Amino acid sequence: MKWPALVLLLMLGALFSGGSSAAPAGNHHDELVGKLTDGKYSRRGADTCLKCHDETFPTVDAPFPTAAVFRTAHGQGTKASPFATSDTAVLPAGLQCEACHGPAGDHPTQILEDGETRQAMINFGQRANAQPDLQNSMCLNCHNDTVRMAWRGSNHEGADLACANCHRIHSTDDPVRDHGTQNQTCTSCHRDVAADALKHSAHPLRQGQLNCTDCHAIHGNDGDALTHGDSVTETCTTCHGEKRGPFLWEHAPAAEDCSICHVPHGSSQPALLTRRPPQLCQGCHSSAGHRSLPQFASDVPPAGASEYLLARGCTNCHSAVHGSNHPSGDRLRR
Amino acid sequence: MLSCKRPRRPTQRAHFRVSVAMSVLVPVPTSVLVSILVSALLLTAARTAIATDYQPNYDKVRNDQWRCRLCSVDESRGTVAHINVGVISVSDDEARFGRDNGLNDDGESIDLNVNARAVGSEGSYWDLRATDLGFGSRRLDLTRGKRSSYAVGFSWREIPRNSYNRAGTAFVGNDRLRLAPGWLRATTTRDMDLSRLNYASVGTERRRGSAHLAVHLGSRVRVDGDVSRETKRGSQLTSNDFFYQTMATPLAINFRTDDVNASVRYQTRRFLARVGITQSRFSNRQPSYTWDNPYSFGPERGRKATEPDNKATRVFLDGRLNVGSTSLRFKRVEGELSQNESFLPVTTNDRLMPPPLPVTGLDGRVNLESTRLTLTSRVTRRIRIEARYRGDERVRERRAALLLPGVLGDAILLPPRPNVARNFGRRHLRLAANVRLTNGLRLRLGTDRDAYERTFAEVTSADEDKRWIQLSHTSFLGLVARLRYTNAERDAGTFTPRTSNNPLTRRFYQADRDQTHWRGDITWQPDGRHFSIGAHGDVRDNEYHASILGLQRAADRTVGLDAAIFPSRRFSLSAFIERQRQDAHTRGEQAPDRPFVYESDDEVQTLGISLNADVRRLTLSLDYLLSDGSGRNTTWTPDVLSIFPELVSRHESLGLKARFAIRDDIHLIARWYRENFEARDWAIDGTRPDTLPRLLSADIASPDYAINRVSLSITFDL
Repeated sequence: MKWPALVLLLMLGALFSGGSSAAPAGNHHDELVGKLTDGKYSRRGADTCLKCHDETFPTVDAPFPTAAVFRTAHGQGTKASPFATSDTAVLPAGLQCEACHGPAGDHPTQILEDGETRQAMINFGQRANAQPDLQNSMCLNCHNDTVRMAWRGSNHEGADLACANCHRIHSTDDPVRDHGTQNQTCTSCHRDVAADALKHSAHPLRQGQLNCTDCHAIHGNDGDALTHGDSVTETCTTCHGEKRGPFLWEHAPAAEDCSICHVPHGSSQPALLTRRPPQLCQGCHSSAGHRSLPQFASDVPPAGASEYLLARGCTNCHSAVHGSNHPSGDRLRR
Repeated sequence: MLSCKRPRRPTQRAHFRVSVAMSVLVPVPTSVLVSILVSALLLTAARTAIATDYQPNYDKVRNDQWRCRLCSVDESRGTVAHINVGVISVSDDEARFGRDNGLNDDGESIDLNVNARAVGSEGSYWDLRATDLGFGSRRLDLTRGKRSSYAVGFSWREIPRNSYNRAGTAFVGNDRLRLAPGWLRATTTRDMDLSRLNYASVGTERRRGSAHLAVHLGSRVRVDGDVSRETKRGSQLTSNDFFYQTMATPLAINFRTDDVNASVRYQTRRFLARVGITQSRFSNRQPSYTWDNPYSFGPERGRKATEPDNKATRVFLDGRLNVGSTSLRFKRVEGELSQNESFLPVTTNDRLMPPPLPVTGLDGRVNLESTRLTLTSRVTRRIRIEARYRGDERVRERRAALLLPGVLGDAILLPPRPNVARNFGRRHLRLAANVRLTNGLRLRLGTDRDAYERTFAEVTSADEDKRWIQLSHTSFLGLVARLRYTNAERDAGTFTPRTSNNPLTRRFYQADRDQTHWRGDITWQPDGRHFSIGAHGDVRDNEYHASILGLQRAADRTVGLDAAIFPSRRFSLSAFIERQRQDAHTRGEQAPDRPFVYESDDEVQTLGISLNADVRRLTLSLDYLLSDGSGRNTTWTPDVLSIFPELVSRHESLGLKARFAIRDDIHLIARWYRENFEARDWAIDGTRPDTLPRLLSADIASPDYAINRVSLSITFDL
């Protein structure tokens, strides 16, 4: 199934590639890269931009909130910010609007003929002039710290996500940074997680008791599934420290990786399990005796009753399922 | 001894081996390391031939005269606050309704939320966010700082987890579980007087307080530190047994976790290095508990060990080096898990007289090591490559093997048996390329190689090869699309039986596995139009082709649609529908001629609709969610097809919110929320405490409720 898949994808690419030159959004990429290289900045910085980009642009009824940026960290004029005023500011700090939107070039000085469009500037979002990697490079010129140093090659970068897809810069409200609204921002793309949060057992994602960033390093990490820890288990035991061990008697999959038995967001089974006992347990345990006995619907009331099936199933007896520190706990019953 | 040797595939592959007795420092395979470093050197040496990664040219910048007269920086300073105060009323008691927010009882609660921010000169600020102050999920975050200088903050969180408002067991107490008043022991549950069950609520509450500090020492150095303490108190339901007698019991929870993190970072434009330490101490205030036997035969009392105190410490060094369009990231972690909780006596049954324990505690230590190296480089304007190495080790040390006496169910003396110190190792290597075919079309492809090592496992080594390819396109007539295909093949090594398991069984996380994964999404928003529609799908199949017994296949399928219209800033309507399905097929064998199969098939359909509308001074919102889940389990043998009753989990909620601007700075908010939830679980609902003669289960039921929550509040903007 490997080579046919590759051929299929390349054919789809050929189908789409033919139309890209007519697409307006993201199609000024080369032009914008050229402007960056050329480095022709405006004469007066933000005073040049704000002459047009005031609270009546593009329309009085629906202006773009340019001035709102001055109520955010980006617009406060502090050291290392785009509006830094210190003589010792290291570029791009102090470049004002052009720190993020790139050099103005001819954009402010053009006199347009009929039908002519103004030279493009780098803008941000899904339908911007610049491709996501160019948008992000403007952000990463400053925001290239320990939180974002793993962005390149990360899952979100691989999904062509721009910083502005999640963040609002020209606004004091950035929903992804607010614990009350962060999860809705993430689940606008990760719909499956929104659905998982409604299932029979789930982490407390719906009311925001647990945020996506409590477990995930969303800007990138070289671990599994963008978790904060170096492993899934390390991330889980941040909150579930009692499962950390080491135990006298270990349950091998519990010591190795929580995701062998559990799913993280929500499950139709109890306790966020992938499958319920005894099916889950008998997937590994098959020795003679009750471990190799099948369970039937006739073992469910009113037809019948089986202690291997009802209530907690296998964990009716083997309740120390994550490991035991009791000398008699080798069967995880103490 | 039976040995099932599976022939290796005839391809060459690198082999990573972990030795139990290896030294603390785990060497990165030399060939891998040399390859990455040589690649980095070659790429940096050829810098003049490589396009830079969108590096701006600042040579012509003349910003010393930029005055920013039109900037409204000064007007933006000051304090802004929003205070929301009101009352919430809940119509009925139900643990699940208030599972995560503490609104599990009927009645009224105060609703208080505060959001305030002050911005001063020179980048100074403070920020206060307080939510749900009137009920069990309250949260407070307070930060004070100065941009590029320092930040100090304090947080407080309360996280409830309500399981049952009323669960009946035969017990009362915490660390000493005594039988409920008037309890009469009997041979079987059917002879017990269930009117004597003790009913109590079951749930826990976490409370976490934390403080953090970040200080910039100059422009290159930053020091970070944070401390936190979390307590978790309450109760959970668990189960205990005396060989063939089992009983549900409450379990008192009294945990405390203390975390300390500190790091120092040095950063220039090209280089970043950080060194730090993290430590977490888990403390269980109830190391064990005893419970009285509710049956009339067997030991009088049992005793169980709860989770032991433990400590986890990690020291790490990470950072990156950028040269032109090449970036090298590195991380090295060395850590240790430890616990030395005193052992409990082998049994509470004085008649058995087991031999003494050889030691008083495990003195368990686990060494953890992790190494990561990632190289990314834009080799041309259109191509970027990535190489990544990762190595993880978990090695038990000190008293790894003990010969311990034991007693089964406080009834049967067992011969001494050794505990097993399990070690794990994993090596991961990735090579990937990211190609920009056109401005909007990108191709990503790559290959991963993972090697796993385990000790005391039936399969001590496994290799997995993964390949993927992804095509994504942005902005073709407003169309954004992505399609990804992944194929992975895990090849388990030689199988060696180590337990009494049927030798045909393969534990699924060790076994041979073929995985295929398709994922795609497409969104269309035509230019200049105010609507969007999208679709996504995800299909993952796992086949355990060499597992005669055990999990044989598992599949996940998701498909969804979403649509939105937003003709203006004053109106938006969006909806999504999604269908998920998970199924699994597990084979077992009661005897060589008596196989059986478990089939599970879980399906969930989710629908969501959101509407927002501004009408003059009134803002209306509507949110509707429906999650309809069903689970079907089947067991079949050559003679029998046994279909279990359907598992049901159905959530339906409707929320309406109206916000009216009395004045520009005062808003009246009215909310109505109704939630219907119904669950049917044959493992719980048909199981009374006396359903099974020797399983005294808890008296609980699956939730089934319809609850209204109404709130009225006022928001003041200061």
